[in-house]
Amino acid sequence: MPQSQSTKGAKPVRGKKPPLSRMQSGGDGLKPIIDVLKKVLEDNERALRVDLTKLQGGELELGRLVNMTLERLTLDLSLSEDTRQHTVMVVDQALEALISLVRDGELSKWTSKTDDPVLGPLLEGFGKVIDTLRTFVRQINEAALQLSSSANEVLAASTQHESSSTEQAAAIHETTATMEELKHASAQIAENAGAVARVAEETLGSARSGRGAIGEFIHAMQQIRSDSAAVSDSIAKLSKRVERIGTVVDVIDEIADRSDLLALNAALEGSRAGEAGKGFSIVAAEMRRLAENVLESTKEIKNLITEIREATAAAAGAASASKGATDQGERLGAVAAQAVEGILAGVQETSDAARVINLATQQQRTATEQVVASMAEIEDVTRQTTQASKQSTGAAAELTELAARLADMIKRFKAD
Amino acid sequence: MTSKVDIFLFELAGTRYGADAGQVVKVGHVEKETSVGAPLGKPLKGGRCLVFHTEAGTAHRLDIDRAIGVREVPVASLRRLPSSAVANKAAVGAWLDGEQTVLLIDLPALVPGGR
Repeated sequence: MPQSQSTKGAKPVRGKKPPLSRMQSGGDGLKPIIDVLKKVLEDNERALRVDLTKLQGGELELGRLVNMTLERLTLDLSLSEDTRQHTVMVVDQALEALISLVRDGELSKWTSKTDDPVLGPLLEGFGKVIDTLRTFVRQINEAALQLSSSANEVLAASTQHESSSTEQAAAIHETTATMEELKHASAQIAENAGAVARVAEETLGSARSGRGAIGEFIHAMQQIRSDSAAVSDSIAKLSKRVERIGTVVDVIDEIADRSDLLALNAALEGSRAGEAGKGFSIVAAEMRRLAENVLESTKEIKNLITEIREATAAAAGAASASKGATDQGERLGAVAAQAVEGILAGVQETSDAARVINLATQQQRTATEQVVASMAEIEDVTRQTTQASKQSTGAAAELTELAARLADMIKRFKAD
Repeated sequence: MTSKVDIFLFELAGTRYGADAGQVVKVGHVEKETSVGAPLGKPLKGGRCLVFHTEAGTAHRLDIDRAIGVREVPVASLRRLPSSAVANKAAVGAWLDGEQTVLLIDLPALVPGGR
């Protein structure tokens, strides 16, 4: 590629690249011009120039104009670079001053006065930034003070809350322990109430059995009284029969006594009759023996009758005593029945009351268990609350510290 | 041949007595009239009496406890009591009925002036 008429050291000019790749040459005479423009624009080869030696006519003229344009652009770019370097230096100084002020916190010492027409607007802009920063510093300072005050309040409140939560947790723990004991006591009471209800039910059954037994006893007493009356009647009849037998025996005795006398006198008569009366005397003696046997028998019968009378009297006495005892037994049975009825009514009431108590204690036990469960949940929540409260207190303390640090940091910036 | 006599035996106040059966008219019940009283002692239970006659033919009664009856007794077995041993003039002798001593009484002699 030819390098004649090119400008060495020319700076490349930045700008929007035209879509040269899409440009099509109108003819082969323009191609060197187009190639140079492409190289300059795309490859930033600002020193490159159109080789005019191979051009003619209008293409030559166009080539010269392009080269003149490229020369002018290179010169302009050189002048702009000097200005830019000056501006950069001034801006760097202004920025350094701004940074130094901000770093030292001496915002109040900023001044925007300058004679440099280029730097004036920049310092004025920086002044606005400093004003804004001073406003921010004031606001942040106030906010830091308020934050510190609020953080202290939050810390105090949080500490108070933590203390209250701890006390509350202790109280709830104590209440939970008490409720636990109450639960055990309720369970024990419920168990005892159940035992009482069972015993009352058994007692009720026993009392009912007792009532039945007393009824049977009274019935038996009535039967005994009836039997005793029959026995007394039989004894009375027996006594009459015995008396009748005694009367008959007395008659027999009288007859035997007379027979005895008769036989004695017959024997005497036989004795007086001498030999002739021997047989008569023998008969008399036999008669007398019979009479004496009868008398002996009647004597035995009388003894037996006496024994029977005594036994009958004893039986009558026993029957009478039995009747008295039976009457007494019936009266006592009636009293016992009445007492058992009273006991039964009392036991029934006791049993009903025991059942009600049993039910109530069961409900109480269930309720107590629910309360214990609820208290456990409350205790758990309270523990979490206490933990959160401690964390909150820690966070508040950190916040207080941070607020203090923020206030200290902000103090470095002197806005007024 | 052994001679025998009929003796009427009776008991009075715990003692067994005998009398000639011929003297006893009859045996009867106790009656207060014509009783000779209690020359041989008071009867323990009484209830019987012997009716006898004195020589004058008067009937008298002796209350006894028990009339045993007439017994035929050998005369030889009868013993007369010595007068010094007789406490009652009516007691005339004795007879041994086995182990039992029977005091023989002259019934009319029980009546004062009866013999």
